[in-house]
Amino acid sequence: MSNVAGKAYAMNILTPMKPGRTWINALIFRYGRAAPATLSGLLGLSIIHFARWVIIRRDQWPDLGQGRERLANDYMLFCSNFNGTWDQYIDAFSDGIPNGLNLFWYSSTKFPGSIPITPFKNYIRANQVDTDYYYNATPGAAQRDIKAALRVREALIDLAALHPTLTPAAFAEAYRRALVTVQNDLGSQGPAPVASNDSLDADVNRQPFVAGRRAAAAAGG
Amino acid sequence: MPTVDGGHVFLTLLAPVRRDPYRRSNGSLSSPQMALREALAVLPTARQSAACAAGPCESPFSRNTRNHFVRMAVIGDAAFNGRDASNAIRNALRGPDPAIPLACDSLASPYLLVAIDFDVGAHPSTAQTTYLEALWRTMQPELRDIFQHCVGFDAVTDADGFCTWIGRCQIDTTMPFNDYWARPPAAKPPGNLAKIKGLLFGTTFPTAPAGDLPSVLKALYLQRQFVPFVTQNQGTSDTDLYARFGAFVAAFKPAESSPTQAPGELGG
Repeated sequence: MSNVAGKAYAMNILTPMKPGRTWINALIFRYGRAAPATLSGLLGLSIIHFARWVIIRRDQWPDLGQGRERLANDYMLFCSNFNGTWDQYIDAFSDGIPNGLNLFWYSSTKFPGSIPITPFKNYIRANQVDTDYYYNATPGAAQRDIKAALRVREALIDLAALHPTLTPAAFAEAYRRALVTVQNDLGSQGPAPVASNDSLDADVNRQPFVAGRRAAAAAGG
Repeated sequence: MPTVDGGHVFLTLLAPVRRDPYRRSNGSLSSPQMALREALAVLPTARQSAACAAGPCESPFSRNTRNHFVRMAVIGDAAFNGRDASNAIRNALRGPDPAIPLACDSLASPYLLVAIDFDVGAHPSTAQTTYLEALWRTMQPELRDIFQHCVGFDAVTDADGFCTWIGRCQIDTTMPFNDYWARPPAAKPPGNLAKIKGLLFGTTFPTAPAGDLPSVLKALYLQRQFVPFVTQNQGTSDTDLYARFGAFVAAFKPAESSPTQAPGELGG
C-alpha cells in the first residue's frame, strides 16, 4: 500500500452527504464549470496533475448481483494526484482557496470548513481511503516540471524551425532570446525526496515479493 | 459528460468485491478483500524510486501510452463522522435521546475503487472502448489477478466482455480537473447566457495543447537533454553554437514524437 508514486500523492476522500443537500453540490460543480474563472484559484495552486469529484447517490453503487446497497447517505468521492506532502497539500488548499473548498464540500455532513485548519485536517484524515496501488507515468516530474517542459519544447520547436533560415549570428541572438524566456523552465527531474525511512524501507522490502509474484505468474501459479 | 473532459477520460469504477471465501494456491483460505489487497501490493509500480528502478519489474500500465495516472483502493466501508449535532433542549423535549446510538451507513460489500486518467486518443467517440481493449490486450493476466476478486468478473472471457463489465461498474465523474496548460488558456470569459447554458446542459473544457501523455513524455525528455546543452554552451561562439544546435536537433528531433522517454520512468 502506498499513496505515493514518484513525486505524486494519491488522495481519496469519501464523505457522506444528506441526500436532500446533494443537489446543491451538483449545482455548485455545474456553475464552476460554466464560469471557469471561479476555478482560477485551483489552477493557481499548480500542484495538481489530475483531480476529480464524483457524486455517488445512494442508488448508484453498482449492483452486479451482490445486492443493492441500503444507505441513508449519498457520498462525495474526491481523488487527487498532487505534488508534495499531505500536509503541504492541505495547507495550500486551506491557505489558497478556502472558500472554494467550502463550496466543493458544501453538502458533506460535518465538514468543518477549511479554516481553522486542524479540524479540517482531522476531517480529511478521518474520511481518507488509503491507496492500494498507484501508477504514475511521469514519476520524476511534478506538475510544474511538466508545464515547464512543455514550454521548453515549444521554444525548441521554434528554434529548430528558425535554425536553417538564419546565419549563425542571427541564430545565436534568437537562441539567447529564447533562453531568457525559458530560463526558469530548465529544472531537473528525478526521484522525489524520500518521505521517510519507513517509506524507503517498505519500497526496498517490497521488491522481492513483486519479483516472486512475477516468477509465480511465469510458472503458471 | 464530465467523465470525458479537456482531452482526457476520467474513468471512475466501483467494483463490488466478492464475499465468499477465497482459496489460495497453497490451499489456505482467505477473504477476497484480503487477497485483492495482496494482489495490488505486489503489482509492479512505475520505476519511481531507486529500489523500483533496480528491480526486475515495471508496471503493466506502462505498456500503453495513454495512462497518466491509475489508482486502486479498496473501500472497506463508509466512514462515520460521529452523530449529528443537535440541540439539547429540543432533545430533552422531543428526543432523540443521544444515549441511543445513531444509525450509520455500512456497505453491504467492499468496493474496489479504480480511478484512471487517460488520453482520449485519436477517436473521442470510442476513447473508452479502445483504451479498455488495449488494457485487455496488454495486461490481461494482471487484470485477472486483480479483478477475479470482484463480483461478476468470472464471466468475463474476452475484451468485449471486459468492456461490458467495466461499464457496469462505472460511475460518472461529476467534476474533473487537469492542468497541463503550459500557459493559462486565453479563452474569453463566458457571458451570462453561456453560463446559464452551461448550468443547464453542462460544459466541456477545451483540450490543452500537448497535454496528452506522448507529448508530455517527449517534452520531459527534451528538457532533460536541453539543460546540459545550455550549460555546456554558455559562452560558445556563434558559429559553434549554430553547429551544435543543429546536431542537437538532429539527435533529439524536438518536433517529432521519437526519441522520447518511456512511460513510468524516472527520467532523472
